Amino acid sequence: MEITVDGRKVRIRSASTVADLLGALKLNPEETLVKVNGKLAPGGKRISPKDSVRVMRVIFGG
Amino acid sequence: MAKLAASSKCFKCGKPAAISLNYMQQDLCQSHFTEMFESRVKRTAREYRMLRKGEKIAVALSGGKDSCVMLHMLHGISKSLPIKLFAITIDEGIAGYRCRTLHVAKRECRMLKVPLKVISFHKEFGKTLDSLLKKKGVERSCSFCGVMRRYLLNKFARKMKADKIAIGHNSDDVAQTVMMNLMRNEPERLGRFGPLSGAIEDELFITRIKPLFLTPERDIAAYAIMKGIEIEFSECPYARHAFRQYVREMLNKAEEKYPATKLRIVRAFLAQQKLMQDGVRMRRGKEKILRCKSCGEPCSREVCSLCTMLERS
Ligand SMILES: [Zn+2]
Repeated sequence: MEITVDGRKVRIRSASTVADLLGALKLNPEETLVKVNGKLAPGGKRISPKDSVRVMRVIFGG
Repeated sequence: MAKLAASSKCFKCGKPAAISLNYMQQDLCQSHFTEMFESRVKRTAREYRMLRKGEKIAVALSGGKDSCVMLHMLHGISKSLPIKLFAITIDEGIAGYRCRTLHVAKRECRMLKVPLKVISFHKEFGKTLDSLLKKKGVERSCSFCGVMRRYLLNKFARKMKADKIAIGHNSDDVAQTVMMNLMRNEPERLGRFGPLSGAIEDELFITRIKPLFLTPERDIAAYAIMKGIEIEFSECPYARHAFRQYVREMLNKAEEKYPATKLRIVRAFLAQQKLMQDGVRMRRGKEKILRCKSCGEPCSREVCSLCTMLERS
């Protein structure tokens, strides 16, 4: 499925939940927030290739 | 690794959750999250007596998510507790970064009708951070910049007759600072660190308050998104050179594996701080706050760190 990470499109093999997705992308949940179909979603949220998924890395310095 | 009960339903009301908070092992919906967030900030302010009726508060506003969310929170509090707010933004002169956050700072102040004062390194010190670091090297960029910013904030807040300076440090910043102090063996520095500014009292030092002291950085980002506070999640170009960056990544790795680690570091620090401050207070009888020979600002040595750094003496 295709998702967006910090504005860039990324293709991954399917993931069943937001937490799975972060694991597949090797991103730390502590440093990211995820929007599914425009809404913030918890780690347990189920996702499918039809969903629009946006991963945002939100922990930065300064 | 700690497997968390990810139910994707709000722990409080059972509606669809918007966020997983691993440090408290809860998923919350948007309204229960924002309610928890706001009451935690208010509780922190109350617990450490950060705000008093009638005070004038200088908000250190970088235009990043932390200080913008803090400004919104203080603005909200000012509706029930009469405090007067104004913002100070420091323009360090970082090409391609500061102009964007400066734009955000101006926009938020205009929206909340909070007066804003912009102060630049270039005007005050005759050089931008960029030009200074060309000479000094980028390795210690954040300590240079920090000293310069604190200096200007204190000086201008005093000039504007502020009672307090509000700083947007979050609990991640605090955990990092505590860990960095341990790793560098600089325990005495922590004596001056805390939710309410340090152990040193002097009429030239304006008390610093940190209403986000117990609020995790990720929660602040989530709150900003939920409240529609438009913030760019961008990074200062010098940050990657800093030791802090290393410690941040280290702590976030620990947090992923052992949730709530960062907040436990903050709690442990607060518990120990009382003891440390007693130590500082005992020493303070012998130690005096001096005036810098070069610029007249308060400091603990003959020449302050800023003047030493800029070789102004
Ligand atoms: Zn709820």
